[in-house]
This record gives sequence, C-alpha cells and structure tokens, in this order.
Amino acid sequence: MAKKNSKTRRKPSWKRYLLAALLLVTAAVLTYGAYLDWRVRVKFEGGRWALPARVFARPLELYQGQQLSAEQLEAELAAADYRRVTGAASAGSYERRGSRFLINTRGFQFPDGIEPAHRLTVDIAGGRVSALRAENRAVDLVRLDPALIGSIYPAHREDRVLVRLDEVPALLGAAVLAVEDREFYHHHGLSWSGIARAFVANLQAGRVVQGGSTITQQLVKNFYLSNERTLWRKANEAAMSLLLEARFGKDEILEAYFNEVYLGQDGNRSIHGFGLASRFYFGRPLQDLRLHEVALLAGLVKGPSYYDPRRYPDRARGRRDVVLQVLAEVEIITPEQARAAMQRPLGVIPRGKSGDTPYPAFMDLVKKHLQRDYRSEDLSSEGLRIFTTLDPWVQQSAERALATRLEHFGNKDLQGAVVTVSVDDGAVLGVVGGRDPRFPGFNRALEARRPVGSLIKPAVYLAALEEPTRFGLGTILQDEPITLRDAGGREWSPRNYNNETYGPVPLWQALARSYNLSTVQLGLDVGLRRVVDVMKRLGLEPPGHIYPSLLLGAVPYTPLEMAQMYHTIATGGFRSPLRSVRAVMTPQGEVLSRYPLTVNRAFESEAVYLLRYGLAAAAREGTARSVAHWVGSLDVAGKTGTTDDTRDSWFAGFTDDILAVTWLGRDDNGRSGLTGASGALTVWGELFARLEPRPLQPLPPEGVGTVWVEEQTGRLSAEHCRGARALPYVVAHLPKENAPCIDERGLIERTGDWLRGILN
Amino acid sequence: MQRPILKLAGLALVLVLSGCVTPPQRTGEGAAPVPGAAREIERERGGEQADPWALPGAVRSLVQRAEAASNAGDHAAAAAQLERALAIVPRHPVIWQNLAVVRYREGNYQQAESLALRSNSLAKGLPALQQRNWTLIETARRLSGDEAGARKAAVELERLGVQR
Repeated sequence: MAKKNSKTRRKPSWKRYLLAALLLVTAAVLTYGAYLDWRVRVKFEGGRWALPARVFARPLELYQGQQLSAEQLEAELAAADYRRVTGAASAGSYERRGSRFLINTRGFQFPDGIEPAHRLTVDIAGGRVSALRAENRAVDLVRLDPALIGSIYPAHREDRVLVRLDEVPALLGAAVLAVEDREFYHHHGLSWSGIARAFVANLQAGRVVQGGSTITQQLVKNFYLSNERTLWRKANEAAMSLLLEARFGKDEILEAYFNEVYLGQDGNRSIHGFGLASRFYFGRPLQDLRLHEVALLAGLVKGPSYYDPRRYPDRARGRRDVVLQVLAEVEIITPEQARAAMQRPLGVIPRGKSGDTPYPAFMDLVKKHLQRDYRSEDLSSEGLRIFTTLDPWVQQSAERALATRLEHFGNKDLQGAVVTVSVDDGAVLGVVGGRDPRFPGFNRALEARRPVGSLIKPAVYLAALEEPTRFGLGTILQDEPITLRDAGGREWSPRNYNNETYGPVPLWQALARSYNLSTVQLGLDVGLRRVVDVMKRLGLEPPGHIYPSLLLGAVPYTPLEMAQMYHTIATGGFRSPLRSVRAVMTPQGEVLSRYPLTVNRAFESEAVYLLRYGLAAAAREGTARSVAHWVGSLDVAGKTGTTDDTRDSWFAGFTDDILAVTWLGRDDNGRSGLTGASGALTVWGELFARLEPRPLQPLPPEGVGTVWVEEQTGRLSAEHCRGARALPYVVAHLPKENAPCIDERGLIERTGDWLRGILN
Repeated sequence: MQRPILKLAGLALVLVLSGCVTPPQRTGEGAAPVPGAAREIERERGGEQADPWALPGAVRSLVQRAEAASNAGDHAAAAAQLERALAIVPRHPVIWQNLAVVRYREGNYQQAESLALRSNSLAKGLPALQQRNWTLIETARRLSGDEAGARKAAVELERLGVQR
C-alpha cells in the first residue's frame, strides 16, 4: 500500500515536474517573447531617433527690381546646393543662359507657411532682377528654399535627415529591395528563399553580391541589438523580426529602415539613413538624386566603409555598377539606362560641405542666442528647424575680404574678425571669427575682448551733442595737453597720435580727425558719468571701473559688441538687440519661438544725426578718408581705432543699409604695426567694394537745419564769409554769437541780386 | 495701385476712430479700407509724378498677407510678413507704421510707440502719416501709464494742426 501509494505518488509527481518544467519554459518563452515584443513596440512607436537641429540661412527673396547680380545669384544657388544642369529638369537644379536663369526650386516649409516648388525664370539686367516668372507667369515675389548651414548634434553624434517613404525616390526603394531583399513584400520577417537566392547569386558571382538577411532583420539588428555575432543574438534577431512584422506594416518597416540604415562615417559622426547620406555624399537632398547616384547609395548598404566612395572610389564604382546591372536584370531600368549611368562618374562631393557647418563663427552666435531659451538636449534631439539671418553672399564676401587683406599683409600671426549687420533690422548677416573661417576654434568676433581705442569716441561726442544748448558741431574745443591724477596719485597724460597739439578745433573736426586731447577735454566737460550712460544706451555693457582713459577707449569690447554700439548710431538712435535667429520651428511645422524685430528709441534723432555728420566727415576728410580708395565717391560713415603700439586695429563703418566692424590684431597681443586706417579699414573697404551698398543718405530730422558757421570761432556766419562751413545744427540752438561779416553783404551775392534784377 | 497703402493707413485709422481705450484685440473688426488716406499721401508727394512712396507688387502682397494675419489675430505672423516687406523697402514709413499698429493690436505698447517713432523719423513731409503716428504714440503711452509722454504727443499733434 505504502509502496503503491508511493508509486502512485511518484508517477504523477514525475509528470508534474515535467509539466511544471514545461509550463515554466513556456512561461519563460512567453515572458521573454512579451519582453521582446515590448522592446520592439516601445522603440518603434516612440521617438525613434534623436534628431539634431537643422540651421538654415535666410532665404533669398526674389522680386522684380531687386538689386541682384548674376554672380550673387549663382553664389546663392550654390550655397543652397543647387546644381547647374542644362534644362534644369529636376528640383534643386538651374540653368544659366547669359543673364537668364531657369531655376527649378524645391518646395519648403517656412515658419510662415509653405513655399511651393516653382519653375522660375529670372532675368538679370544692370545688376537688378528685370523680370521674374514662375510657371511662365509673371509673379511679384518668390522665395528660394534656404541654404542649410549646419546642424546642432547630440553628444553621441548619430546623425540623420528623416525622410518619409513618399519622399524616397521610387528608384532608390526599388534598388534597395532588388539588392537587399527581393521578397520583402512577401515574407514575414525571414526569407528562406532570399537566403537561398543570395547563396546562389553569390556562388555565381564568385563573391558576395547579396546578403541573406531580410530588410526586417537588418533593421532589427541596427535598431535593437549589439554587434556581437552569436547564435543567441541571431535567434533574438529572428524572433524580433517576426514580432516586428506581426506588429507593423511593411511600409512602416521600410520607412524606418531607410532612416536607420548605416551608410558612412564622418569623423566621430555616424551617417544614418538615406536622407543624410544623400547630403553627405552628394550635397543635395534625396529627392534630387539621379540614377547613378541612387545606385551608389543602394550599393553602400552592403558595406559603407569597404565601399566608401571617397576612400575607395574603384570599389564603390564596381559596387554601383553591380546595382545598376541588377536593376536592369529585374527590368526596373532598361539596359541602355544602366549603361548610360555606368558611364557617369561617382559624383561624390569632397567631404566637409555636408558635415559640420561651413560658418562655425556664425553658428557660435546662433547657439549663444538660442541658449537663452533652449536646453542643449532639445537643440540636439528634437529635429528643430532654426531659421537664421545669415546672408550667404555677405558672409562669403566678408570671408574673402579678410583673406585678401591678410594675404596682402603677409603676417602669419595676424588675426582678424568681421561682424556684418543689416542696419534696418539689426540682423547679423555674417560673422568671421579668424583667418581660417572654416576652423571652429577661437571665435574672435564674439570672444576676443580687446581695447577699442578711438572706436569709443562717438559715445563721448554723442553725450556732448545731446546737450544742444552747450554743444554743436561748430563748438570750439581746446586740443591742448592735459594731465590727470587719479585717487592713487598716478598721473595720466594722454597724447595725440602723432604727439602734436592742435589748439582750438571745431567739434566735428576733433571727431573726424580723432584728436585725443580735445576728446578728453570734451569728455571731462560733459562728465564721465554721462558718457557711460550714453554707452549703456548705445547697447554696451558699462565698464566695471570708470577711469578718464575710458574716453580714449582703454576699455575692452568684442567686435560683436562694437557692432551693437554702431548699429544704434547707424539707425539714427534706435537700439535693436542684434539678432541671428528669426524663428525656431518643430519638424511638424509648429513655430516654437520667433525673435522679431524690436526697437527702442535710445536717443533723440537730432543728436544722432549730428554725430553721423561727424562720422561721415571722418570718412570723407578725416582719419578714414582712405576708404575712398575702396568705395570711391560712395557716402559712408565710419571711425578708425588704433590701440597702444598698434596692438589692435579697428574700424566700424556703415552705409545706409549695411554696417560692419572689422578688427585685426594678434592673439598674443603683440604689435601688428597696423593702425585702424592701414589695417581694419582696408578689410572693411574690401568688403564694401564687393557688396554694392546703398549710399548713406540720412534724412535730417525736423528740428535740424544747415547753417554757416565760422570755423575758427564757432560763431554763426554766412555763405559769403571767409572760413565759413555749412554745418547741420539744431535750429532752436544755433550759435549765439554772430561773426561780424554776417551783416556785410558779400560781393558775389550782390552780383547775384543784380543779375536776378536784369533777368526779371 | 494705391490700395495697399490705403488699407494700411486704414489699419492705423481704425485706431484713431476707435478711441484711446479700445482694447487692442477688438480693433481688428473695423479694418475696412478708408478712402482718402492714400490720396492724402499722394497729394502730399505731388501725385502727378511717379510716386516715390509707391509700394512694389512684392511688398503689396506681403502687406496684404500681414493684414489678413493681423485681422485673424495672429500678430506674430503679421509682424513676420511686415519684416519681409521691410527687407524690400527698408525706409518706407508706412511699413514701419504698420508694424507699430500690429504691436499696438497685440498690446505691446512700448514697441508700438518705438516703431511709430521710427516711422516718423522717416516720414518727413508726410504730415498725415505723422499725425497717425503721433495719435498711436499718444494712445500707446496713455495705455502704458505714461501720461506725461502722452501729453507731449498731444503737443505734437497740435503742432501738426490737429483739432482736439
């Protein structure tokens, strides 16, 4: 009994163990399956990829009558990766016939709406757009899609440009399926016939021309699994492939694959997906690619480093031609098309264009501005679209201007910086941060704080001109030696540049000729506190300590900060924070932030108008008069700056529409041997000679009129008087004293009266 | 040819007509074209010659878009379109004034005032436009509590011969 009992007990217990073990295994398999399923779903449904922000230049607006040279238009098209092709049949291409451009634009989503793709005809005549047609009809205004000028990458630098399946050229899809997975639309994740076919094909070719994994398996491998080659991993891959296929549609899987597939390496940045690969290898969006380029991309899937078209062009070419052959075999293209495409070169662009930004100095400014509102994770992962103010033509002109002058000076240690700003809206058009504009290192335009020398003087004169009861442009200043003693008993005896003294000089001349002694006298007369207040209102951070030497610019600022100061002057006293970003948009087209034009009236327009007269006089007949060598008779305003022993050479100047600040100097703060006029001014001149700016034409404010003033004394004078100069003045505050000759009638004027009498 | 200016001037005039205390969000309703405003400008400039203030077609379409956006309450979009217009005609006082009106409608009185001042700095010889700007400035200052500033604007309006 006991035996039997134990027997009966033992039997079921053995079975039970087996059952329990079976259940356990099943449970484990199910749990593990559920776990795999969860992994497959979570990653696939969630945000699949961290996407770097894309940064765009300002778009080129085209309109009738616009000032635009053919050369500039070509540069703009090149910056936006347009291809010059006869017929301009595909999007992103253009044809130039003399002064006529046929442009096939790409549609683009801007923060203020979609600009559809157009077939444009643009005629240029006399440096202007003389006719503008879209789809053969005259139009008022069109925008080109903007140049992509860089990306803001996440830390691990996995990069991609997402494409939707409907954006992938049909040919590319067909080519990838033909060489990677012909049964894709028929299998459930694994394909025995595919493996068999690949085996046979490889055997026939004597080398590996097809891989055995399905596209689903490849995606799973890239997406979820490590690179180790174990049986366990292979089993996981198979299981997850089946799960992925069960959960999601073929098109979804294919789209993910097109965006995930690894296609190359750019330094520490890995190139994922066809969207980015197209930019990386061809510098153009995927939609623009032609057959031979599509075939190369499809071929690269098999081994991006082995077939790297830049390092191993022959291998890449062989691989491309195999793909073309396969395409012809499966009758997607004709044998003639395949042969024609095989004749084409690879068409790969040199590395660098699509990688990091070509304009690192400007990108620094963009990042600095965005830092106020965005976390760096958001910038590098959300695929944001950042619309900036960069003007590719101005930027390239500034780079060339600096390079040309640095080459002329020939000093390898000489460095430079250029900041260019649009006067009307405070948009930063370009930034050059050093002699190598592509080098993303020390950015002198934003980071080099150097004494500004005479560049500060307009603040002193503006403080004076804000008191029209005391100072006008004709007010006589004393340019005489002065010695100041600070609280510590240290003496300061400023000198003029050439150690001379000029005695009594009119205020405008002291500014135009940049006399130091009279400027110090004036600044002390007005009061340091008021000068500092003016500096603040001009947009400068005030110095921590206020010494009289501040009046001569013994205070450090960056070129960007000087651009802010001079911008307020160039606008006639309206301060606008300089902008490099106009808007930030999500990939879905939602505008997250706008950075609109804001203005603050910081000064009465009368005072700034008078100051600008002095700065125009500097460019016409003062320390900056050599600017005529570059811009001829164009009216400009500007100020030179030179610091002790020619360590810093500065120039700030503007026309009606464009302002630029240039700096030359050495990183070790050594002597450059250049004054503001012999150094930085020539960079500015070289730049403005390229830009065709609008001449300065300030509108005198209502309260300002032109009067004759006796140069020697500052007394009110008249046209017929000797030594009289016409100067703008605040009409309510003319010089109080009259020159004696004002009441005498000049001989010429009397003759004029007599002539008029006869004619009447 | 003059219609956009007219509509724009109309935008500003709404402000004048609707008085000083109209909440900005309601001012859009009456943005009907006001005949005469454009002709005033034309007359001031000696309308028989080519009008230096005539707006090119590109600007006219941008201004129309701005007006539509402003009337729909999308001030940010309206301002963005006007900034595009400014890039084409940067010294046109009417565009600056329109930007001021958009900011006023948005309730941003400080910007409305500054932009109207900027418009006036370019509006020499256009008293009708100056008058609209000073009216806007006066209202904006009053709404932001700057009574002294508002009185100064009123003095300017009197100087321009506006009957109060």
